[in-house]
Amino acid sequence: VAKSPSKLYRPGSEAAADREFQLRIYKASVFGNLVSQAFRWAGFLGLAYCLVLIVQALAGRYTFADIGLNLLGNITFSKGAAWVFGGGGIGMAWRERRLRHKVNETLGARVSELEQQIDSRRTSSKLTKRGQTNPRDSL
Amino acid sequence: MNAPAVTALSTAISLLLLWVLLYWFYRRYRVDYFRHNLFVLRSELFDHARKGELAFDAPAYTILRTTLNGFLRYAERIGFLSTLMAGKVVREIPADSELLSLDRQWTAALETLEPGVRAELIAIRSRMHYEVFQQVLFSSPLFALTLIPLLFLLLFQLASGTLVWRAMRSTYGACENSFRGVLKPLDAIAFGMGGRELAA
Repeated sequence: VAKSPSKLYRPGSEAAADREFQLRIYKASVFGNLVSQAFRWAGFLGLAYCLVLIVQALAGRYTFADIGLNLLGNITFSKGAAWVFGGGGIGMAWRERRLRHKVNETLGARVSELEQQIDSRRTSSKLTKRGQTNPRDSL
Repeated sequence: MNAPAVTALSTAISLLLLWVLLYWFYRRYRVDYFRHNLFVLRSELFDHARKGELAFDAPAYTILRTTLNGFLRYAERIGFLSTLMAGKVVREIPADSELLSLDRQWTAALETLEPGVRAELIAIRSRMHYEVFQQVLFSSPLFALTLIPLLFLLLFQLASGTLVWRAMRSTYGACENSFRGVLKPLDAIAFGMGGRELAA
């Protein structure tokens, strides 16, 4: 069993130089996240632009019905099966995720209540009841 | 309607859907998965304290639980690029800085515990670090899509190389005695050749 607790490092108690480092780490991390986001949205915009160009090239020559029929007519059995399995897999994963969040909400609250009874100074991760990022902490 | 137009259109739609899958669904799933694993570790830690193996206010418990809480809270921000950028700054921090004192405090806190509990806590912390490492690698869809298959191939090559080498060793071990019989004249021939070269 542990001996008496010693004084722990507490964020905010650092020297000025350390705070400067903390700020630099935070800025570097935010910059990294921004670059990642830039890549993410650049990819999306690039793809969306390609789609617009294709639609522009087809505009005036074909109707939506033509395009739809051609797309559907182009689907082979193997392609269709791949779409069904892919889409089905995504749908199931999405439902499972929602289910887990609901379980977190119903059972998680009880667990934290029981833990609170055992350890009155229990600390929290500050996530929402569903186990998701707190809106105040999201990017 | 010509076939290339249909192909171009269906490819563009497929790529957009792939983007949604990777950057929307996968990223969120990965954060949830990471959090779930950390929740399991936090529960294990809580159980050790509940059983009375260490106090709820023991420094080791406080340090580990608070760190787990921090990773749980900011899981969404853990990424390959942000970790890489932050890592560059972290390397500049002087060794005597208070920011690095937590590790020293952790070591000191462990010394106050029974060896068995200490080992359990070290294992939980090490698993936590492994989870973070995985999150850094796999949270980036681009990274996961490009470098991970390459790493996997490399690992496979390494593993298969090791396996082949082991198989060779065991084969040699099994027929070592018989092979020695063949080696004797070979040794003699080699010795003779070597001697001839030396004399020349």
